[in-house]
Amino acid sequence: MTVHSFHIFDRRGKTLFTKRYIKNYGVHEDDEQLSEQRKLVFGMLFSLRELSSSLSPSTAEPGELKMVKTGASALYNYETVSGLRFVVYTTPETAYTTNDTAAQSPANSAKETKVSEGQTSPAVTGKIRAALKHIYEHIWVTFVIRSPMYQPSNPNISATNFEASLDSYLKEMPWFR
Amino acid sequence: MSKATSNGQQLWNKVPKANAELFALTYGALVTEVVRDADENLATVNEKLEKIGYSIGIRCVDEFLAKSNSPYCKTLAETAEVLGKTAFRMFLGIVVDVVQHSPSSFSLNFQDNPLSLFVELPENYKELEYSILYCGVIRGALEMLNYKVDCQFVKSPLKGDDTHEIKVDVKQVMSDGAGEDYQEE
Repeated sequence: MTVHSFHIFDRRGKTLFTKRYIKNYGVHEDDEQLSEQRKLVFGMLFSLRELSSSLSPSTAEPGELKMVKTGASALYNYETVSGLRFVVYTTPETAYTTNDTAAQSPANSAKETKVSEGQTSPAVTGKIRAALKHIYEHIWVTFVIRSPMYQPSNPNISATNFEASLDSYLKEMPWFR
Repeated sequence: MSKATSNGQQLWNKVPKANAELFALTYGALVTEVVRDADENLATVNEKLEKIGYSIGIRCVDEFLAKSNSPYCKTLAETAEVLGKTAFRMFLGIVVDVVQHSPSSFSLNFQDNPLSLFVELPENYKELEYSILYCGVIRGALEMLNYKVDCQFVKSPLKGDDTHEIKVDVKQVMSDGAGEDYQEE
């Protein structure tokens, strides 16, 4: 699995932070196109959540969108109550998952192996979402929210250590590359 | 004990604490400074203190959400409960009673106020809302959760009442989604 890019949106769809980890080689993309892409990603997440919460029974927990997957990519989403969305865009994991989850419990290995054939294992989704949660709780709050210059609509992230900490955290993750 | 209360208690045990006297004196020094800056115009002082609270509120809501793992609130009553029982407990260590007046308003009642530990207001300062900081914090924090609220002290021992009461009125519930910022990027 490879991490392509990482975005943070606020509840109005403004991009607070964005970083690409892998460039689309051979394809020229200017800033305008990238910004257009982010708008589409946010729009999709927003609409899908509206859809899922309108489909789920009213007594249930509000439908939270966890991930969207296509053949070529997977997009993981973590949403906070304050309306921030942490989004990571990756290639979907493949056989790699098998080793990863089978190691945990031999009893489940047969089942897990089956799941991982082209499917997304819940364990990996859980791990990535846990990482996104960690990024919110320990990196975003520590570096961005506590910065004296913080403003909700313009958090001035470049003035903080957020990006450096984010990079070093992501690089430690076994699924990063 | 409700879930919000026990959660608040646990969080209070976990968070790092500041010395209460130091905290009260620091806030006192801040208020004095603001009073001096505003040339003793108490309306301006109240406004400034509220604004300081607001800036605290928009930050500490994320701090709270990150630490508390509070469940998603579906009604204002639940939000009020979490605000009073969990958030106030976590940040200030005080016990707050939440009274729901209507679907769009509630009150927070409490006895101990860590901000006004040593405070007595002189006669000519009766207009000063010494602890209006709380109102700003609540307004800022709830705004980040899509509630536009009006928040004020209706009772304060500094003005001769026997308890503190903060009344919160919800003016508007904002909706998510593409705003003007969305187009601008």
